[in-house]
Amino acid sequence: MNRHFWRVVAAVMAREITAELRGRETVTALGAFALVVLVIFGFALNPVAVDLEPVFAGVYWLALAFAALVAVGRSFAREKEAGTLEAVAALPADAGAVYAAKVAVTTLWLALVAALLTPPFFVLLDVEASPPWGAWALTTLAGLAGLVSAGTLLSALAVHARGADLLLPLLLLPLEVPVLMAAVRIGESLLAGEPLSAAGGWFRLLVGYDIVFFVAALVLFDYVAEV
Amino acid sequence: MRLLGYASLPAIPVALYMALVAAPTEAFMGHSQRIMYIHVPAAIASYLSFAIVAAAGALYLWRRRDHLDALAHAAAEVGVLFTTITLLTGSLWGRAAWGWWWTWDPRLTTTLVLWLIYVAYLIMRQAIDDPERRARFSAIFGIVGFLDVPVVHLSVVWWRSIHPPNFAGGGTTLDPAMQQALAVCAAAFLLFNLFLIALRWRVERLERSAARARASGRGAAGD
Repeated sequence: MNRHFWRVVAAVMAREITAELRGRETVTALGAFALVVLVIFGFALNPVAVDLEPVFAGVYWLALAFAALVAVGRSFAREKEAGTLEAVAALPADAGAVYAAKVAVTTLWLALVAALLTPPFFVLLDVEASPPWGAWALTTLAGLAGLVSAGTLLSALAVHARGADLLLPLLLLPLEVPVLMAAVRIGESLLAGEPLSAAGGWFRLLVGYDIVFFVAALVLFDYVAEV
Repeated sequence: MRLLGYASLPAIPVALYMALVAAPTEAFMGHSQRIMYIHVPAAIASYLSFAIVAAAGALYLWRRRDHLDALAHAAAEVGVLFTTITLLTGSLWGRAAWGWWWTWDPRLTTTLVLWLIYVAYLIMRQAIDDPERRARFSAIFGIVGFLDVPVVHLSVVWWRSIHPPNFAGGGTTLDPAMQQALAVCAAAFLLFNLFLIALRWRVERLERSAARARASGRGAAGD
């Protein structure tokens, strides 16, 4: 991790953020998508008749997982549409730096979406519990980082395959099982009013997953970007 | 490979004899308990296959030999076969022992997730046309998928332990004669597993060299 690596990370992040500020398409579209998923859950689960608090963490994480799936899918599909995929691959840099920047930016967008949508989530699904918000935010961030770390690597693989849109969820969802289990269990415990330490084992597992998959992908990304 | 074939082909009937005839009938479950002699060895064989997928993938990224990718492909296919056997026999056992076809038992659930990961691996292989890129990407996914196995298993064990289990599991002691039969079956399955992978590996390499010969023949005719 020399200075050059960080310079590339910063440059790619700046590029993604500038593009987003210009068009605002990612956050808007992702937010709208997650909201639609939420409303659909509302219809499917009927919060008027059923108390959704026991399954609320599960619904919250499914909506975020779907949004993450779309977000990481867009991450390289957009490059391909714009014809910049080869340019990114040909950057005179550690391919890992491109990967790290993409992960950071995509996690940032999803965290924004989660922050914006958390109030409507609680209101629309009629859940009155008030979890410790700092811990809730920390868990959301750790969960999103796990989804995006594995997802960005797999998205870079899928973009070169036929039927990338179908392939990516097929590759990613089974790998995400530990993230979803951990995040949902922590969420349930927080909703019950317990502190984060009550689900400490799960939180360590989540952070462990983040680290293992981020580091593995960082190393393996060199082999993806080969031209 | 021939050696593996000679060793594994007689091993299977011996293993079946041990499992179906020699091993004592279990006191509570009767003959349905004998499913274990297939179920457990198949599970072990599938873990071995997926370890081979990851190892062959890593070696491929290092040495870039096409036959290493062929080995990963062969091992993944055989691994999915044995995982399918594990799931089906697990389901049959569950029906006989607990009265339902499926339970979210930690090991069954881990096996199901494994099955999904490696089915996705095989589908991805089909979806990438360029052979060199397919080999590279498959190696990457094979490594990442295998990294996921211990994490999935740990999380599923914890996940289940929060809800009370539906059955009194664990802590069972196995009759020595049953242990012996199980060990023989496991050894036979592992041999057979390696034999199938070797066989599938050879077919894969032959197919690839035939495809290369066809491609170069066509190229020559076009010149």
